[in-house]
Amino acid sequence: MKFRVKFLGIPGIRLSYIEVEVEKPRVREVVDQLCKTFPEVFPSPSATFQRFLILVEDQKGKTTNIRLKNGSDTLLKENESLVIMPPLTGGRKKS
Amino acid sequence: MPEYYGYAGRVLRIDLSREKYHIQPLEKELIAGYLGGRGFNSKRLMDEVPGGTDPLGPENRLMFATGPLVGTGFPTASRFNVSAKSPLTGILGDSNAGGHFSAEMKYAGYDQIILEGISKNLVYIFIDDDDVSLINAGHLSGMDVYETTKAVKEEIGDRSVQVCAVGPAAENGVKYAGVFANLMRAAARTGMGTVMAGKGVKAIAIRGSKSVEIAHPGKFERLVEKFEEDVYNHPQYWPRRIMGTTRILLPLNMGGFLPTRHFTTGVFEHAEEVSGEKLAKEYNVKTRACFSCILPCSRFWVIKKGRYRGKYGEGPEYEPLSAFTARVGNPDVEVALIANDMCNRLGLDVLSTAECISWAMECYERGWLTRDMADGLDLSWGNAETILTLIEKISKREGFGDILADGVKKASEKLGFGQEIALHVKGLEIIQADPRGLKGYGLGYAVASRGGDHLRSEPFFELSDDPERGKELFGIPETALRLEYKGKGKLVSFFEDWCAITDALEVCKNVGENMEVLPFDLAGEVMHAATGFKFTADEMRRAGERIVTVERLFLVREGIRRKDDTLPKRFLEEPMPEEAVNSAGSIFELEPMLNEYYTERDWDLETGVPSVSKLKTLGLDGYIEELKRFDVPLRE
Repeated sequence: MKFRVKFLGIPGIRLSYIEVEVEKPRVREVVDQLCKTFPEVFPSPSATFQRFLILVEDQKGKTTNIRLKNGSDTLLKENESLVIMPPLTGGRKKS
Repeated sequence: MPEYYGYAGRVLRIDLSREKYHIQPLEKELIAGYLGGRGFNSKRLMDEVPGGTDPLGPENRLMFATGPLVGTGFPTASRFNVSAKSPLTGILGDSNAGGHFSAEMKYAGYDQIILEGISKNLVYIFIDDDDVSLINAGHLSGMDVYETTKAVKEEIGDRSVQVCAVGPAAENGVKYAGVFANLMRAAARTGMGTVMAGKGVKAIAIRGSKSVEIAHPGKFERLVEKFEEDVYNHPQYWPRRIMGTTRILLPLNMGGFLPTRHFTTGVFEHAEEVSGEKLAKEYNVKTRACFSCILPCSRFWVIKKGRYRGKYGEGPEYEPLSAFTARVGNPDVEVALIANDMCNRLGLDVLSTAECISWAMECYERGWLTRDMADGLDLSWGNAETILTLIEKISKREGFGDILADGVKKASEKLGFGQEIALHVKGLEIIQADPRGLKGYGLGYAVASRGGDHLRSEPFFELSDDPERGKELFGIPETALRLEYKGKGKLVSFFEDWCAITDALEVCKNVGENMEVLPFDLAGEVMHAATGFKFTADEMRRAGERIVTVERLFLVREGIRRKDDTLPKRFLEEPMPEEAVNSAGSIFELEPMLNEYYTERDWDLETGVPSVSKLKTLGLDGYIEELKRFDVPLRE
């Protein structure tokens, strides 16, 4: 299945979106693909989940943080996209 | 052994009426209670500016304060606060800016500079360590901020002297003129430039040769290293470095709370064309940092082609970018760059200016305001020529600009229409984020001690979408969700205290608070290492609360009560429209949030006045008699 991944304000990525093809429509699979495509920006799935906001966007533009769904296990429906961006505020790694 | 570590230990008072100055020692009890910067200014304003004072009269004080970490090399500690009673709002006036002026104040040996009285002639002040001169500035009258800064540096014959100046807008009595350091580091809000010009001061130039001593250098160095590591490894580091705060324009648009066409909607169809990403890609040429900052987030831009070819400038941050595009309905990012640059040169607050213009545009679109009433201008949404013409007219108080120059509240009162859509709180024009999409921020605007502004609280946690953490930190999961109102009283009071200490230490709030790298416990440790004064995390928070409370006392003495802690009707009665998908239907639930906030603060639910027991807990009970003299209702 193909899903669109939109990028907002991520240094190192000049594209506004890419299409990602995965076997299972799960957020983790999509992020795995991203890490392979942009290893310098997304070095590992765990770092990506920790450092970026990841939202699911439906056809009408309604977004939901995957944290409020099933996290990396969130299943994507047809016509849904992922939006990835750095945290707007906060976001320091807790020691 | 020096008497003070971290602090310069001295306060400079300049009596402009008598053309005299004296230097007094910094009071140690002020340090213990208020830390520095904004804390020093707010406390002294309460003590020295009597209730009912005319903001433009000789009794008002204009105060510049720096903080204990400024000049030490602590990253991002470069800020200063400028405070006085505000001519725009009639309550506490206060604004904060970065650059290099603050560090130079410390090197000249001052934690605070206080201007009293009014000069007979227009002057600029040259502070050269312990020598203070008032120099005739008649020849600088009418010059813009850039011209003034350049002229003063040339006259002194030292390009490295630090200058803060006001522009022609301040000289012409525009009520929201700011004080500008390093050309465009703007302490813009609440009309502090208006007060400075009203005192007959065009600029302050400062040069110092002293040093700042550190109490525990080894510990200080370790803490600096930790702070640097946290900043460099932060996921926001590069986005901020490349785009500054303009990075948030697109996310706000996606969230449906980007104020568009005077807050009539929360999405702007041209957001991509006016985004931080667009600026970074097509206009930005280099970055610049404030003193001792490791995150150079200020950007220089150049327009390379088209009708503005060859124009260049610095900035803008998110607020002016968004205000001169989405707020006024303008899709041309170059017009926003020019508008922001004009405001900086003329010495205007961009937010108040943009609110006045967008308010006039909405009045025009509704048919309340006609071309005849507005000097023949076509005030249709996004009319670039009108936007730029009005900025000029406001700064000169010319024609229709004269009406807007007193702020949106007064303009609507004067014209007799549009009061319900004049978007201000306590007379201060509100910022560029729709409170219907950010409930905690909205509560922050309603209760902020300087009026409709977010920088008193910045409760960013509500954007985290992390209810579990909300429960853990505040006992209320909804604190982590921006569209929920529950728990926001608790959230806002916590973040207000945090902002107060960040402003008191004069650390950049974008980094210290927004990136959460300077929490209360670390701030206390840094304070100890730099100054030798011990502060636990609780004591730091208590100092923050004391600053917020003394500011509230300043307000209640001026007659502010619960009825004034409100938002414009639009946010309370008009739900966000459907096209703002991610905030659609949302409305601002003021009353339950205020109740929660007052309860958290121990302020009276009916009046919004801090309780006597709270004043005693914070050591502010010395003000009880003063409050009684002004008929402030007090309860135990």
